[in-house]
Amino acid sequence: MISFILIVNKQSQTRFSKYSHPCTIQHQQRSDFELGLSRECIQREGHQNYIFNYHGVGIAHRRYASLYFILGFADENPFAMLELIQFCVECLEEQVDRVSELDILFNLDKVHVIMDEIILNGMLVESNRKRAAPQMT
Amino acid sequence: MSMRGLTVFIADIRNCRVRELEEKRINKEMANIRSKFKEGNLNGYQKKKYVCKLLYMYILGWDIDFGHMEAVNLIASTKYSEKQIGYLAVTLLFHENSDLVRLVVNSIKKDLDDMNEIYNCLALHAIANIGGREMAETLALDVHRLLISPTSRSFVQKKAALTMLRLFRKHPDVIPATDWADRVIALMDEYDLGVALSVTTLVMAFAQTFPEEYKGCYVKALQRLKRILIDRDFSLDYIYYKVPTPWLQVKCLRLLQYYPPPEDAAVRNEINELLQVIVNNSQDTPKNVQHNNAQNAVLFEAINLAIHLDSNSQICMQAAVLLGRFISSKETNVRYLGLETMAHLAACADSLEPIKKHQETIIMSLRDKDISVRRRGLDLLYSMCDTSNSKVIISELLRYLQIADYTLREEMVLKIAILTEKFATAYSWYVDIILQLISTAGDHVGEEVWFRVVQIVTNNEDLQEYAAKTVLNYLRSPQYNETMIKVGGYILGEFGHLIANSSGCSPIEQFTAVHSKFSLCSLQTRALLLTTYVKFVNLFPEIKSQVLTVFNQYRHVLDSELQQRACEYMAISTLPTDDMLQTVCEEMPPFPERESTLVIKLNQKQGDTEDKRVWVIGGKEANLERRESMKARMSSIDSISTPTSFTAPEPRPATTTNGNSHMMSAEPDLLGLDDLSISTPNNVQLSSNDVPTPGFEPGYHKLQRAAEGVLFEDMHLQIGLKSEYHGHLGRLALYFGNKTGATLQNFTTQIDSTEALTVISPTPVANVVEARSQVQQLLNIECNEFFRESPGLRISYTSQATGPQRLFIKLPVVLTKFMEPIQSMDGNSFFQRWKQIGGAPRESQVVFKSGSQSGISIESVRNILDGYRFGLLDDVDPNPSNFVGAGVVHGGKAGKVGALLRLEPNMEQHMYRLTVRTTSEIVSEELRIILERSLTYDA
Repeated sequence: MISFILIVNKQSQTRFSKYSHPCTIQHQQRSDFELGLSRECIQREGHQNYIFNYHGVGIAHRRYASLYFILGFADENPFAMLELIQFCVECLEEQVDRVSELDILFNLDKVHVIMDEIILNGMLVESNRKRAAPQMT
Repeated sequence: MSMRGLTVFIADIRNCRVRELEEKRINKEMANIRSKFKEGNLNGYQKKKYVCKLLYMYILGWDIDFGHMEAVNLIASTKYSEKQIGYLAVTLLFHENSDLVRLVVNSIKKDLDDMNEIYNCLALHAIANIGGREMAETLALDVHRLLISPTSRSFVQKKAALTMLRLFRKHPDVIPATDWADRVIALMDEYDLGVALSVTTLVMAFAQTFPEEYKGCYVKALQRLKRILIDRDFSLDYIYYKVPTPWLQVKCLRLLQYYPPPEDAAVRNEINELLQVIVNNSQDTPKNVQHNNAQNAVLFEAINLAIHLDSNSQICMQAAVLLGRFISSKETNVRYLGLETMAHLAACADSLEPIKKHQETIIMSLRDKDISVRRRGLDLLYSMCDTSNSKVIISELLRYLQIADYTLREEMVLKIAILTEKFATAYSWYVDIILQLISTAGDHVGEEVWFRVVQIVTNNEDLQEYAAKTVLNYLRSPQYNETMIKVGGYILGEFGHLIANSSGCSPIEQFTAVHSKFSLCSLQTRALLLTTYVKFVNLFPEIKSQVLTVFNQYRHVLDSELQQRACEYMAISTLPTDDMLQTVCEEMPPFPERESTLVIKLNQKQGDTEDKRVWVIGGKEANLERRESMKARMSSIDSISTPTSFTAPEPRPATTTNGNSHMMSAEPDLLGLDDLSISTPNNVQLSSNDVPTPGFEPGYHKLQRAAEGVLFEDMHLQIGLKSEYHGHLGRLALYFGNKTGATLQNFTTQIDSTEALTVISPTPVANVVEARSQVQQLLNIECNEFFRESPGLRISYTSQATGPQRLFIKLPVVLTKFMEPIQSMDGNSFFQRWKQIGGAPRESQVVFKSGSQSGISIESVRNILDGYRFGLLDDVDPNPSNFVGAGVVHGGKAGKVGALLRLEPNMEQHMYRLTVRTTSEIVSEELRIILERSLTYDA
């Protein structure tokens, strides 16, 4: 299952985070964990692997312009997770037109709703881009 | 949707370049919101806006401790946008144990029942995110209804499936998953791929817990793959970069791996056909990276499935070729997963040949730029090692060890040590490699590694001389390496005499070599070396004076351990005769063979960090062993987790151990202190003949007639017992009280359990009994057949006050314990039955003399019969001093047996005539024996 989704910027500031249950990362330790993990991801250069193991959690991450999308998972196919990030980004793009740090900040509630449409408590719900768009009013 | 206030606020925060400014702005806003909330009278829009601001602050990492009530109010709103923000706030700010969750349960229930499906979805989201026990209990049925109802829209169904999954994960007891099996499995056929994906995910979780009930999902998963891959029957929206719904394919392929390979050849062919299609599809050159990744996701999962099904199949051969291409791919991700999957293949395949072809590439991967790839390369090399390539691989690993990442070294050392031991063909090679390993790895060598070296050298005589010589050479080198000194000290102390006659290895030279490093070592190592020295005194009297100088020096050091050793060794060495010294320094006995501590350590490491896998790094046998041990663990967990239900008796006379001893033997223990006889069935046979500890009888006999009391007592230990019996079942509680002022260590108990009488200890007894305290052990007893022998109880412990102790006593479990008295039977029916049973062989009669000096006491006879659970029937026998009794013995599988008894005491001659009639010969005789003994001695 997918343990968490993080979107961070180049300064390792968390812009979006969602954890699912049961989660091994305690609430109090999350900001430290996010900081360490995002630094690790940002430091990994282009030639390195996008899939690795961080403190026992499987990590897949991809970079889109100045944003890093990080997915933590256990017991899942790593390639499928890597592509899930791309899929999420494509879905976000449809709704918020350009996925940039500002767009995410100003549409945080929307981003949450869209992500909830795709991943519900750590499990993929919908893999059809058209249908993952939530009914917005 | 737009909220100007919020946008301004976010822009403000973004403009704060320093953390302090941000904090100031946040505090200002919080104060503002607080006062607004306090004033009340906010309309929906305002509430929504403020809650949104709070959420934003929360996401930035600030603690939010108010606003929950407003969020709850928003949920109840009729406007979608407000409801939605309310739910978002609830899912983010609430957690399942918060008291406030109670407030939203009702709103959620209302929304689940609403006609508006979008509201249903919001409610499902909330449950999926914060559902705790209360929600599970109240709402599980509603969620189930939404899942299976034919009127539910697909976007509700798919969410209901995953919401159900959450509730099941959290509180499996609340979800009647097995009852729903058919309905839920049927949903896997849904044409809508979104629903199919969610339901498959749910079924995967159910199937792992209830494989039997959910086995129908196997065929469904197969059909789904067939529809996607062969019939190409799917909605076109679900094609992701030319790959149709890769996530669903991956899920189905994974689900198939949770079940053992199918027996049915037709099914196997079908799967093979599908796998072949996937492999063929992967031959297209991908157009872009997304296509490539999606394709690989499916392909790797398919390869894993192929390995799971049959690692020698045609498909696997093809897979090996593909993997060979992958591990030299330019793309890091592909290399990484290629290596991982190849390690899976190596772990399962009979033949490593296809993998060995790529040995060069794999060794190269140890020098990859990416550490994760290096790690995978190491795992694979470890898995693919066998006798033919072990020398190459191990020397490569040794070479790489010197430049390896620090985080990797300890694990590498363990792996090298294991491989060296496993594939050693020549003793000298083993010693060379392992000492080279210790000398290169230095601080990264864990204790286990050198313990193991010592064990192996001690157990293999041919190794000893060579090991001593090599170790001495290492000690002479100027390099300082503490682990090497420990190994050296131990080996020379034990086997130094074997090389004493070679040139350059004379006793004094050995001593100098060791002692030159002495002052550099840690206190612990120095203590070990002092022991080496005292062994030297024994082996080489000629260097006694040099050694004594050292002892003398250390008699005055501050460290108490060193000082004590020095003083004691000094005393032993200077005794008038050498007898004591020789006894103390007797050669170490060989270590008992057991699982290598190294492998245990390695498995622990993997258990710590790796996710749950179906296979482990290592060769085929490692996986076989693991599967066996998992099975064993599963069954032991079963018997532990269900203390009230009784497991079926084992076919052979088995022994219920308290489980602790089993675990203990898995711990590295160099001294071999724990008793191995516990785990070997042979010894159990032997020890059942051993003699019970004297003094056990009084308690044993007394408690045959009583439910509780003291079973046994000696100077150190008191054993109390409480019991209750119903029908053929019984429960015993044993209380072990430590009477001494010292702690009882390694406290273990072991209780005989036979087919006829199973004794199960649901929880092991504590391993340690503190001074003047007691521990408890519960036993569940089940009578399956009529039995004669009472189960034995073996106790062993060590303590400073007593030294090692063993006790063997009998538990007061006799056949009459499973008897229920019959009180209401009149004379007619008694004699009618008495006659029905008739005489021998179903009657057992005896005439015997009372052992009591003072004559027969009617009162105590009555007590005895009562204690043995006979119902005494008065006014049946015309002679009032005669006893008539009845009862039913519950023999479990052997059925119930009615027992009738007549006892005629002869007061003048101090004699009894005892007659027992039952429908079973064995029971008659056994009851007669029990009563005869008791009446003779106890009355």
